[in-house]
Amino acid sequence: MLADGGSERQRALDRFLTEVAQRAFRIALLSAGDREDALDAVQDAMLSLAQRYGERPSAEWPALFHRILQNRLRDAGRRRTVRRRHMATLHDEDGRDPIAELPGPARMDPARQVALAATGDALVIAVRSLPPRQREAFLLRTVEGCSVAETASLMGCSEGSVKTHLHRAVMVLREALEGHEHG
Amino acid sequence: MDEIELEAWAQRSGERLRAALPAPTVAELAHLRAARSAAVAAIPAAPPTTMLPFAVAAVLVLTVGMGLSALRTSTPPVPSAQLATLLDEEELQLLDELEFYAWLELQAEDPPSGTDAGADG
Repeated sequence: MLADGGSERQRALDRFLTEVAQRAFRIALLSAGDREDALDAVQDAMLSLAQRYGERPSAEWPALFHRILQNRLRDAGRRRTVRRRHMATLHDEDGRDPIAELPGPARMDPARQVALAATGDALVIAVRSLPPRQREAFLLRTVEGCSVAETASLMGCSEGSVKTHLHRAVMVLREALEGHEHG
Repeated sequence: MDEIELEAWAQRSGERLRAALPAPTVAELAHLRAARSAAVAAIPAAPPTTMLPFAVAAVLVLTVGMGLSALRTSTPPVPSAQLATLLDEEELQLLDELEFYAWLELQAEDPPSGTDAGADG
């Protein structure tokens, strides 16, 4: 992708971003739920990594990039919450509660949940409802296939914490998906 | 649920999640490529390596200059030559004192000659 004039550091960053772009997009999509928000978060994380940490040793990039991406996703989540609150305020006069109408694991019609389970969407929704750190550990370990040590390095915590987060995530997901266990 | 069972359940969920996710569209892939290019272009430019020796030399000159300046301000105001003079003066004074005490001692040992002459006469 880079012209020959690019520096060695630019080429290294290009290689790194090529490797992580799609994985980052998957994680962002599973966390944010909205494709545009996911793309924005990945784009911001890439730019921020280059501008703020581009001169750092490339071995530090994976953990830094992952942390920046998680922060962007958290910010996007907060913005969505604020938007929903504004919508709720705007529509109060009609006597309707738009928050209750938004799709979510706790508010979804059971019949629709069962239908979604056939395509795996119930699991996606349940994963999205996990606390951020549990979701992070779960996605890195299961979807991205990272080892416990790699996950701990990316999350900036101990391997013991990764196991605890994963255990709690599985417990929550199993309970959420009870009734349409997937195997 | 033991650890092996938990791990197996988690792995099955991961496979299911991967399958449930639609692949990125062509437009999304293009967006990611553009974002990557923009990020790579935004990496802060390192200073040109040809300037490095000059920069190091400038820093060295500045450091030495500042060090010398600090030494000048911290040196005592009395130059070493004056200090030697002071020591010499002290020595001279000490010598004077020694001469004085030696003379005093001699005075005590030898009684004045005028007194003796009067007694004899």
